[in-house]
Amino acid sequence: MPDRDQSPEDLPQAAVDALKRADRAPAVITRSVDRAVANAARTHFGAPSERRAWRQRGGWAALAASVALITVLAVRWDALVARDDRTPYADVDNSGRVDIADVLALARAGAASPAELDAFARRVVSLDAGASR
Amino acid sequence: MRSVQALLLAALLALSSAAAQDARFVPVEIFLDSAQPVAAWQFELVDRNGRMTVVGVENGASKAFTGAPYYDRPATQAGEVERIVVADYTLADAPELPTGRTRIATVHLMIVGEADFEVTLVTATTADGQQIDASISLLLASFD
Repeated sequence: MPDRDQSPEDLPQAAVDALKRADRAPAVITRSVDRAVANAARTHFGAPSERRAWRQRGGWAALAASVALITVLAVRWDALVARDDRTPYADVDNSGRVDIADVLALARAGAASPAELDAFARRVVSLDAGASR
Repeated sequence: MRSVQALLLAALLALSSAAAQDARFVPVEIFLDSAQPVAAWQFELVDRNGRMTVVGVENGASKAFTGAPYYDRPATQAGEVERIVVADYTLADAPELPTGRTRIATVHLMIVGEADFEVTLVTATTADGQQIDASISLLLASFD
Protein backbone atom coordinates (compact mmCIF):
# COMPACT_ATOMS: atom_id res chain seq x y z
CA MET A 1 0.00 0.00 0.00
CA PRO A 2 1.54 3.33 -1.05
CA ASP A 3 2.43 5.94 1.56
CA ARG A 4 -0.17 8.75 1.46
CA ASP A 5 2.23 11.25 2.99
CA GLN A 6 4.90 11.00 0.35
CA SER A 7 5.93 14.30 -1.29
CA PRO A 8 5.42 15.08 -5.04
CA GLU A 9 9.16 14.65 -5.53
CA ASP A 10 8.69 11.03 -4.56
CA LEU A 11 5.84 10.44 -7.07
CA PRO A 12 6.50 8.27 -10.07
CA GLN A 13 7.69 10.30 -13.08
CA ALA A 14 4.61 9.34 -15.09
CA ALA A 15 2.32 10.83 -12.50
CA VAL A 16 4.38 14.01 -12.27
CA ASP A 17 4.24 14.42 -16.05
CA ALA A 18 0.48 13.90 -16.10
CA LEU A 19 -0.02 16.52 -13.41
CA LYS A 20 2.15 19.01 -15.25
CA ARG A 21 0.11 18.46 -18.44
CA ALA A 22 -3.12 19.06 -16.57
CA ASP A 23 -1.73 22.25 -15.03
CA ARG A 24 -0.90 24.00 -18.30
CA ALA A 25 -2.60 27.28 -19.34
CA PRO A 26 -6.06 26.96 -20.95
CA ALA A 27 -6.49 27.35 -24.65
CA VAL A 28 -7.12 30.86 -25.92
CA ILE A 29 -10.87 31.66 -26.28
CA THR A 30 -11.31 32.98 -29.76
CA ARG A 31 -14.04 35.44 -30.83
CA SER A 32 -15.93 32.66 -32.59
CA VAL A 33 -15.95 30.60 -29.38
CA ASP A 34 -17.05 33.65 -27.44
CA ARG A 35 -19.86 34.27 -29.94
CA ALA A 36 -20.96 30.65 -29.78
CA VAL A 37 -21.09 30.75 -25.98
CA ALA A 38 -23.03 34.03 -26.09
CA ASN A 39 -25.53 32.59 -28.60
CA ALA A 40 -25.96 29.48 -26.51
CA ALA A 41 -26.58 31.61 -23.40
CA ARG A 42 -29.09 33.78 -25.28
CA THR A 43 -30.95 30.69 -26.44
CA HIS A 44 -30.88 29.19 -22.97
CA PHE A 45 -32.15 32.30 -21.20
CA GLY A 46 -34.65 33.26 -23.89
CA ALA A 47 -37.69 31.83 -22.01
CA PRO A 48 -37.11 33.79 -18.76
CA SER A 49 -36.98 37.04 -20.69
CA GLU A 50 -40.44 36.20 -22.08
CA ARG A 51 -41.63 35.58 -18.55
CA ARG A 52 -40.19 38.91 -17.56
CA ALA A 53 -42.11 40.55 -20.37
CA TRP A 54 -45.28 38.84 -19.22
CA ARG A 55 -44.61 40.02 -15.68
CA GLN A 56 -44.18 43.53 -16.97
CA ARG A 57 -47.50 43.27 -18.76
CA GLY A 58 -49.07 41.96 -15.51
CA GLY A 59 -47.55 44.83 -13.58
CA TRP A 60 -49.06 47.36 -15.94
CA ALA A 61 -52.44 45.64 -15.66
CA ALA A 62 -52.24 45.76 -11.84
CA LEU A 63 -51.28 49.42 -11.96
CA ALA A 64 -54.18 50.17 -14.29
CA ALA A 65 -56.58 48.30 -11.99
CA SER A 66 -55.28 50.23 -8.96
CA VAL A 67 -55.73 53.54 -10.74
CA ALA A 68 -59.25 52.54 -11.75
CA LEU A 69 -60.09 51.51 -8.16
CA ILE A 70 -58.74 54.75 -6.73
CA THR A 71 -60.71 56.72 -9.32
CA VAL A 72 -63.93 54.87 -8.48
CA LEU A 73 -63.37 55.39 -4.73
CA ALA A 74 -62.63 59.07 -5.26
CA VAL A 75 -65.80 59.53 -7.28
CA ARG A 76 -67.97 57.50 -4.88
CA TRP A 77 -66.42 58.91 -1.68
CA ASP A 78 -68.87 61.80 -1.38
CA ALA A 79 -71.77 59.44 -1.85
CA LEU A 80 -70.42 57.07 0.80
CA VAL A 81 -69.93 59.89 3.30
CA ALA A 82 -73.31 61.36 2.48
CA ARG A 83 -74.87 57.97 3.12
CA ASP A 84 -73.35 57.94 6.61
CA ASP A 85 -74.62 61.47 7.19
CA ARG A 86 -78.11 60.32 6.31
CA THR A 87 -78.16 58.14 9.44
CA PRO A 88 -81.26 59.45 11.20
CA TYR A 89 -80.62 61.48 14.31
CA ALA A 90 -83.44 63.86 15.01
CA ASP A 91 -86.10 64.80 17.50
CA VAL A 92 -88.74 62.78 15.69
CA ASP A 93 -91.39 63.03 18.40
CA ASN A 94 -90.76 66.76 19.06
CA SER A 95 -90.06 66.15 22.72
CA GLY A 96 -87.23 68.67 22.71
CA ARG A 97 -84.62 65.95 23.11
CA VAL A 98 -83.19 63.16 20.95
CA ASP A 99 -83.57 59.87 22.78
CA ILE A 100 -84.70 56.28 22.37
CA ALA A 101 -88.34 57.39 22.04
CA ASP A 102 -87.36 58.97 18.72
CA VAL A 103 -85.96 55.65 17.55
CA LEU A 104 -89.22 53.97 18.54
CA ALA A 105 -91.25 56.62 16.70
CA LEU A 106 -89.15 56.16 13.56
CA ALA A 107 -89.39 52.37 13.82
CA ARG A 108 -93.16 52.48 14.19
CA ALA A 109 -93.41 54.82 11.19
CA GLY A 110 -91.49 52.28 9.13
CA ALA A 111 -89.41 55.12 7.78
CA ALA A 112 -86.01 53.55 8.35
CA SER A 113 -84.28 50.25 7.79
CA PRO A 114 -83.25 48.06 10.74
CA ALA A 115 -79.62 49.06 10.13
CA GLU A 116 -80.52 52.73 10.23
CA LEU A 117 -82.54 52.23 13.41
CA ASP A 118 -79.59 50.41 14.97
CA ALA A 119 -77.25 53.25 14.02
CA PHE A 120 -79.72 55.80 15.43
CA ALA A 121 -80.03 53.91 18.72
CA ARG A 122 -76.26 53.55 19.03
CA ARG A 123 -75.85 57.26 18.48
CA VAL A 124 -78.49 58.00 21.12
CA VAL A 125 -76.44 56.19 23.77
CA SER A 126 -73.05 57.33 22.51
CA LEU A 127 -71.12 59.09 25.27
CA ASP A 128 -69.06 61.00 22.70
CA ALA A 129 -72.19 62.32 21.04
CA GLY A 130 -73.24 63.76 24.41
CA ALA A 131 -75.99 61.28 25.15
CA SER A 132 -78.65 63.06 27.17
CA ARG A 133 -77.98 63.62 30.82
CA MET B 1 -27.93 46.93 43.28
CA ARG B 2 -29.69 43.63 42.78
CA SER B 3 -31.19 43.81 46.25
CA VAL B 4 -32.63 47.25 45.44
CA GLN B 5 -34.16 45.90 42.24
CA ALA B 6 -35.61 42.96 44.13
CA LEU B 7 -37.11 45.31 46.71
CA LEU B 8 -38.65 47.48 43.99
CA LEU B 9 -40.09 44.42 42.25
CA ALA B 10 -41.53 43.15 45.52
CA ALA B 11 -43.09 46.54 46.21
CA LEU B 12 -44.65 46.65 42.73
CA LEU B 13 -46.01 43.14 43.13
CA ALA B 14 -47.47 44.02 46.51
CA LEU B 15 -49.13 47.12 45.09
CA SER B 16 -50.61 45.30 42.09
CA SER B 17 -51.78 42.49 44.34
CA ALA B 18 -53.50 44.98 46.64
CA ALA B 19 -55.14 46.67 43.65
CA ALA B 20 -56.29 43.32 42.27
CA GLN B 21 -57.73 42.38 45.66
CA ASP B 22 -59.56 45.69 45.82
CA ALA B 23 -61.23 45.18 42.40
CA ARG B 24 -64.59 43.48 42.55
CA PHE B 25 -67.38 42.62 40.15
CA VAL B 26 -70.78 44.08 40.89
CA PRO B 27 -73.99 43.44 38.98
CA VAL B 28 -76.24 46.47 39.22
CA GLU B 29 -79.86 45.61 38.53
CA ILE B 30 -82.01 48.42 37.18
CA PHE B 31 -85.74 48.39 37.87
CA LEU B 32 -88.44 50.43 36.19
CA ASP B 33 -91.80 50.86 37.86
CA SER B 34 -94.58 51.83 35.50
CA ALA B 35 -98.34 51.62 35.63
CA GLN B 36 -98.48 51.63 31.83
CA PRO B 37 -96.93 49.18 29.34
CA VAL B 38 -93.41 50.29 28.47
CA ALA B 39 -92.21 50.14 24.83
CA ALA B 40 -89.06 52.21 25.17
CA TRP B 41 -86.83 53.26 28.00
CA GLN B 42 -83.54 55.03 28.52
CA PHE B 43 -81.57 55.61 31.68
CA GLU B 44 -78.22 56.96 32.72
CA LEU B 45 -76.07 55.35 35.39
CA VAL B 46 -73.42 57.54 36.96
CA ASP B 47 -70.61 56.68 39.33
CA ARG B 48 -69.83 59.95 41.03
CA ASN B 49 -66.43 58.56 42.00
CA GLY B 50 -65.71 57.56 38.40
CA ARG B 51 -64.34 54.19 39.50
CA MET B 52 -66.50 51.83 37.43
CA THR B 53 -65.51 49.74 34.44
CA VAL B 54 -68.45 48.38 32.47
CA VAL B 55 -68.01 44.69 31.77
CA GLY B 56 -71.32 44.27 29.96
CA VAL B 57 -75.01 45.06 29.95
CA GLU B 58 -77.60 42.32 30.11
CA ASN B 59 -81.23 42.59 29.09
CA GLY B 60 -83.96 42.51 31.68
CA ALA B 61 -86.76 40.19 32.63
CA SER B 62 -89.30 41.16 29.97
CA LYS B 63 -89.59 38.91 26.94
CA ALA B 64 -90.60 41.91 24.86
CA PHE B 65 -87.01 43.17 25.03
CA THR B 66 -85.10 40.20 23.73
CA GLY B 67 -81.66 41.52 22.79
CA ALA B 68 -78.98 43.26 24.80
CA PRO B 69 -79.82 46.92 25.35
CA TYR B 70 -78.00 49.70 23.52
CA TYR B 71 -75.03 51.32 25.23
CA ASP B 72 -71.75 52.83 24.15
CA ARG B 73 -69.76 49.62 23.99
CA PRO B 74 -66.52 51.05 22.50
CA ALA B 75 -66.32 53.84 25.07
CA THR B 76 -66.99 51.58 28.02
CA GLN B 77 -64.56 48.92 26.81
CA ALA B 78 -61.82 51.53 26.68
CA GLY B 79 -61.66 51.61 30.48
CA GLU B 80 -63.09 53.41 33.49
CA VAL B 81 -66.04 55.65 32.75
CA GLU B 82 -67.94 58.08 34.88
CA ARG B 83 -71.32 57.30 33.34
CA ILE B 84 -73.14 55.03 30.93
CA VAL B 85 -76.34 55.57 28.98
CA VAL B 86 -78.46 52.48 28.34
CA ALA B 87 -81.60 52.30 26.21
CA ASP B 88 -83.86 49.90 24.39
CA TYR B 89 -87.13 49.81 22.50
CA THR B 90 -89.46 47.15 21.20
CA LEU B 91 -92.15 46.87 18.54
CA ALA B 92 -93.88 44.08 20.44
CA ASP B 93 -97.64 44.23 20.86
CA ALA B 94 -99.04 46.00 23.92
CA PRO B 95 -100.05 42.82 25.81
CA GLU B 96 -96.41 41.69 25.77
CA LEU B 97 -95.04 44.95 27.12
CA PRO B 98 -93.94 45.03 30.76
CA THR B 99 -95.92 46.85 33.40
CA GLY B 100 -95.40 47.27 37.13
CA ARG B 101 -91.93 46.88 38.64
CA THR B 102 -89.70 45.24 36.06
CA ARG B 103 -85.98 44.64 35.86
CA ILE B 104 -85.10 46.30 32.56
CA ALA B 105 -81.32 45.72 32.59
CA THR B 106 -78.39 44.48 34.60
CA VAL B 107 -75.17 46.44 34.28
CA HIS B 108 -72.14 44.32 35.10
CA LEU B 109 -69.36 46.41 36.55
CA MET B 110 -65.84 46.03 37.83
CA ILE B 111 -65.15 48.48 40.61
CA VAL B 112 -61.89 49.39 42.24
CA GLY B 113 -62.45 51.18 45.51
CA GLU B 114 -65.77 52.71 46.43
CA ALA B 115 -68.44 53.62 43.90
CA ASP B 116 -71.21 56.16 44.37
CA PHE B 117 -74.04 55.30 41.98
CA GLU B 118 -76.90 57.40 40.75
CA VAL B 119 -79.45 56.22 38.20
CA THR B 120 -81.65 58.64 36.29
CA LEU B 121 -84.57 57.82 34.04
CA VAL B 122 -84.17 59.75 30.79
CA THR B 123 -87.37 58.55 29.20
CA ALA B 124 -89.98 55.81 29.25
CA THR B 125 -92.75 55.69 26.69
CA THR B 126 -95.72 53.63 25.66
CA ALA B 127 -95.95 52.00 22.24
CA ASP B 128 -97.61 55.09 20.79
CA GLY B 129 -94.88 57.32 22.13
CA GLN B 130 -96.66 58.77 25.16
CA GLN B 131 -94.35 59.68 28.03
CA ILE B 132 -94.82 57.53 31.11
CA ASP B 133 -94.57 58.84 34.63
CA ALA B 134 -92.39 55.97 35.81
CA SER B 135 -89.78 55.60 38.52
CA ILE B 136 -86.39 53.94 38.31
CA SER B 137 -84.24 52.33 40.97
CA LEU B 138 -81.14 50.17 41.25
CA LEU B 139 -80.15 47.20 43.32
CA LEU B 140 -76.54 46.27 43.97
CA ALA B 141 -75.53 42.67 44.32
CA SER B 142 -72.04 41.52 45.16
CA PHE B 143 -70.12 38.30 44.58
CA ASP B 144 -67.95 38.92 47.69
